[in-house]
Amino acid sequence: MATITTGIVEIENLWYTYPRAARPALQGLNLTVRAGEFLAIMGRTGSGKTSLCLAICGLVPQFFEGGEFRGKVLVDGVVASETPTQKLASKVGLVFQDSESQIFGVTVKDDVAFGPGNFGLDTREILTRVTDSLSTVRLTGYEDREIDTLSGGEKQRLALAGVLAMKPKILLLDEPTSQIDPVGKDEVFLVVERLREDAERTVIIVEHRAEEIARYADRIVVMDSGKIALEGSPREVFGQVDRLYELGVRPPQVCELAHRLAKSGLWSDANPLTEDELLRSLPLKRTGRKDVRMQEERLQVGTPIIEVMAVDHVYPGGREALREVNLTIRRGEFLAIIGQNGSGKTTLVKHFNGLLKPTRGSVVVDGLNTARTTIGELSKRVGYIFQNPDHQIFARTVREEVAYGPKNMKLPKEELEKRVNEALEFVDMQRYSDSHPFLLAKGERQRVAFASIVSMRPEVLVVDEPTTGQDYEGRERMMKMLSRLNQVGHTVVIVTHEMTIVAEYCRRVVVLNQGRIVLDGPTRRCFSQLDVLKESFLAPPQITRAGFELGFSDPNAILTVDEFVDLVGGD
Amino acid sequence: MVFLEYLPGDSLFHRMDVRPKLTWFIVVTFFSLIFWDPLILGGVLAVVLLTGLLIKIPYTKFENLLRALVVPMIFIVGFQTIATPGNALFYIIPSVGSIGPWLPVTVEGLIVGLVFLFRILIMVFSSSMLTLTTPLYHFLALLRKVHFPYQFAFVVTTGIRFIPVLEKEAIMTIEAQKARGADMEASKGFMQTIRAYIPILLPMLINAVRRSENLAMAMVSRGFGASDEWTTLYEIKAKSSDYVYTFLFIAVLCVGVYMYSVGYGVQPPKLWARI
Repeated sequence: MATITTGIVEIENLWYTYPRAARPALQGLNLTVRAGEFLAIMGRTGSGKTSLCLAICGLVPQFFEGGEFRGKVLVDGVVASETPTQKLASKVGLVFQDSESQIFGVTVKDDVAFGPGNFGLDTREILTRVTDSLSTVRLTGYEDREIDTLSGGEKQRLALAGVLAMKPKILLLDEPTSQIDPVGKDEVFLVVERLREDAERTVIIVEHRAEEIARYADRIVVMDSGKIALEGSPREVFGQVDRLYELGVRPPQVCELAHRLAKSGLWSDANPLTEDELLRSLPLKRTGRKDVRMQEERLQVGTPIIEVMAVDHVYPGGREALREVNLTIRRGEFLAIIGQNGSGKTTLVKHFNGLLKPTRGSVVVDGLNTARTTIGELSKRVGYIFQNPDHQIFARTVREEVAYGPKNMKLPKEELEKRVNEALEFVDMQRYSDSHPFLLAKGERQRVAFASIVSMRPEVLVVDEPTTGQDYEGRERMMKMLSRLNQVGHTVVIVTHEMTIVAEYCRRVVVLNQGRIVLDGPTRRCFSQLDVLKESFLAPPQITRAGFELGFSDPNAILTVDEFVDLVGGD
Repeated sequence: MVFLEYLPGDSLFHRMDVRPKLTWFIVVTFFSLIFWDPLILGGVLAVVLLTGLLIKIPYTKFENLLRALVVPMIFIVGFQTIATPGNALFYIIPSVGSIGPWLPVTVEGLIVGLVFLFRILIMVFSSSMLTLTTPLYHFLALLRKVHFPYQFAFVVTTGIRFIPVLEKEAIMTIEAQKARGADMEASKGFMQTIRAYIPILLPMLINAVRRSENLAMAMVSRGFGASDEWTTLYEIKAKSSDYVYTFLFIAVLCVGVYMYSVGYGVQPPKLWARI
């Protein structure tokens, strides 16, 4: 059969095994991308999404020594695996997940000029490109800013500008928003939307955020075990909800809802993709069934364990991060602290284990005033799990890593052994107890970090962004573990940007805005206060928003797809 | 970043091209390292301080630098004072019976100590004045002008760029370990202190290695090494006044070289030692 070149990217039976890897990352992948197309790649962690990106820009196989490469990758008529990546850079630009490791300049202007400078273009041409690309990513006026003064969203847009300055025909974005806050994500997507309008440009994006993909993508491919498992328009792909679950991908909530309703025979003739489409076609009228009583949440579960009293926190240098914060957390609560970046969330929770001390006011944990108690003493009561496990893992074996905290508590040997075993069992990592933690996959390292706090058996667990950068399955696993700990009596406090996990798991919500608590109460009530949320740059989950439109508002706001289904079909 | 900070301004030194400034720095360095006469060094220090006044460098900047250097300065000057043989003024440990006296403070030692003090001050002030008045890219443009290998120039800038990143990472790691009950202060003894810091240093090291692989990929995918030619955004241009300054500084350097060749001021003054 003669191949007719129709795509700007043509991949044929692509196999790749990384050096020293046990199994291939890509296993016979076939893909054609048309010029001007906006293609989204989805799939669980480890399904080969990043490897595919690297193959398109030639880094796979060229960057890695000793990998095994088979198949053909044609990019704009050039064989990617045989063209030096640097030369290919004018055809394909790749924006990586971590913006920090792809910025080279000391100032914004320097960095955008890095790419074109490498091609030896003349200064005037470079300056024109700098101006143009900064304007495309909406960073005009930032030219002379130093990199470490930028926010996460600004850094990611700068990384994008740096790639655009090389004028590539194909733009590859590998989870460009997985490491940044919602405001930053929206900023990046605003730029992505603008790029989409340019009919000449081909955009390939790896992304977990299904709602955005539903809006922007012309086509979605879902990867599994190094191959393409599902392919089609957003409507076709997101319509196959069960299949997506199998592939570790979560579709938009409206698709989940339509699917559930269809399953129970309530509604089968529609396949909505967005909120508007759902509302237009749902056989339930806006006047709806407002009278449905939601189960009353039990909130006041136990005696106070953390009391924050009139706390102000001012950082050295004068930045006021917390103002007049009053908060009581009771034993057994499952609480979410939300707010945009810089609202004071992390500053607040760092007061719980004494990492920060109040400038004014006081924090009392289990009867101890944190101002007069060491972090060591507090860490026995309040465990703090940081977002990135790699900032703490240092030991030679998983067991040793998990034992570090209990060792610092000077526990007797038997007790220590017992706790370490329990913690490893809890995160289901016993079989790795003698493995080197650095050699584990990221999700596994996250579980080790989790166990290393659980082994100290703190009454309170504070978790900073438990689900950032994780896929659907990793997210569910993490939240299920926290739920189990909560059920056996631990108090759980999470700091997060993901509203769906707040709605699904947390019974109480505290909203911070500019260092003040602006909302504090049961999740359902807080998620009904649209105006306050909006002022704090937050939005409730898609399903809750859809519920509002149908009249399910305070105090009957719908929090999950399950609730929605119950309400509609719950006769 | 205390040492590489650029302080925007409009002084004579700010407006001067990087080349005469660098020449000035070399001349000052030459004088301070070659000569041993405290009078000459005192004069050089006065010139440097006068220049500092001219550029209007805030007093606090110097103060911060000095504060960081007090301990090493005392150590170096003290050591020189004691280690130089000569006429003893007094002994730090006087004789008790047949033991001692030990550690004589000599006139020669005081002079040598003073010379070292002047040298440290000159070097610290002149180098920070150079960096405070010169944006980093001027140095890079100069490197390019002299056909310095691009790779090396790139290493320099990337290194500077990542100082704040590493700083942030260090803070996060320290906090993560403290939250697990790590106690950095309580440990006693050298080995124990080192052991206490392993949980902080190791994750940082591993992260740096991981990051370097990502960095390398990002570099290549942005065309690093695509062409032997490379362009920086910045061109440095010497004005006619800059040539005059360079000439002036070189003339001063020649005077210094002449003084050195006839042996003037290159020994600690003998005359003083006889007081």
